Amino acid sequence: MRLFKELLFIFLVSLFFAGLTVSVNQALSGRILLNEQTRNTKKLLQVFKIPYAENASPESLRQLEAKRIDEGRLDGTTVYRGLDEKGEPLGYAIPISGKGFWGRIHGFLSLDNDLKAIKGIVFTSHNETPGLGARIEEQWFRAQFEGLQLANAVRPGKYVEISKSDDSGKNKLDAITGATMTSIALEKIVNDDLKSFVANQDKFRRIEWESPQRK
Amino acid sequence: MGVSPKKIALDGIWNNNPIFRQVLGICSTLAVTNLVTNTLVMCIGLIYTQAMSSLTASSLRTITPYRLRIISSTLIIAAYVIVLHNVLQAYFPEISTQLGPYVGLIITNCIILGRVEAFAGNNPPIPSFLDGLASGVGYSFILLAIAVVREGLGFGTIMGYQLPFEFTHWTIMVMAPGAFFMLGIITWLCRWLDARAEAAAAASKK
Repeated sequence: MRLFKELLFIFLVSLFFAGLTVSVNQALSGRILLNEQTRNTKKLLQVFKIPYAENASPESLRQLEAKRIDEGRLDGTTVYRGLDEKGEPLGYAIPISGKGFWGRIHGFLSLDNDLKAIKGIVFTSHNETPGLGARIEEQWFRAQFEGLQLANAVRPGKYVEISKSDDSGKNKLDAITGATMTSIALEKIVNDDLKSFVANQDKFRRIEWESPQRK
Repeated sequence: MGVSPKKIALDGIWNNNPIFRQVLGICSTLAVTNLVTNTLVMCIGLIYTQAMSSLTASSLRTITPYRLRIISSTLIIAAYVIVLHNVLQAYFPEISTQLGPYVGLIITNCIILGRVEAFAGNNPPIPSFLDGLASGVGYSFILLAIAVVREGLGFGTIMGYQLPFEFTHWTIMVMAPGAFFMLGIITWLCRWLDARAEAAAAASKK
């Protein structure tokens, strides 16, 4: 009898609180999904340097994305092509991801039309230390990647080095003070993803691009 | 058992402060205190979770089987934190991404389960709610004090606003060791103030 009472109690409490969380989640999931998509759209526009208003509505951002960004599939991952106002290609973007210091870092890396130089880099999610590793998101740090020629690799397979910039003409960038581990991790992520991209270049050029289909 | 609201408030905020007296919830104290804005959101989240969990656990205390109390408390706390996490994601997406896993970790914050178990388990709902609020405020003011010093010295800013003078930033303040130093200093300071007040009270009685 006592066991039955206990079971009943825990069953009812679980039922009630599960119901509570499920209904809150149901009520807010649309908004959460929209926030995520908007965030992703903004990051993609940023990586192609397509200007947008910071307070633009999610709807207008989606329209801008539909007009200026094409999608393609490469071995199961989605890759992107940016277009200028006239619909001419601006460059291409590939997703990058890998282990950071605390958790995985995700982002996009864009390349110019000839796939020979880096156009930009953005991060969509990471768990790096606020104020230290998290500064990879800052403009000055990301700007260092812009215009790097893949041909100026520090050594074969190592396209960028994040430690201390010098004037050797190689792709050496300034790391963030106090965030050595994040810098090392990011360097590996960028180099690994670039390496597999370069190996896949021929396939990449045959991709059929299309306007993104949003659910 | 009647405990006056004033005593509950004083206990939670000072006499029995979760950080420098009970030394609970240290993980988040060390982790989220390098930017004041993040700390503030974390504190509001904790106050809400503590107050609501204490209220709920206390309301159910007469029908909760004794050996199931921890299971049901954990369930209650987790539910409130998930609600908070969803609300942050939906309405404050920027802050939510910045706080990352820490909001979810409120569930395992020792202060919450500690207060639910120690106070809400044998006190009526309203005092429990107050106790939750007071403990949350006690936690928050210590965290904010630490965060102001860490962000101020580490970045030269407070809530992102530049301080009016220039100096070499203490990078160590932004990292975990800075939190340990500050926590130690603040704990010592608060206990020293306490000891001084007690000594003064004892002296005046003689």
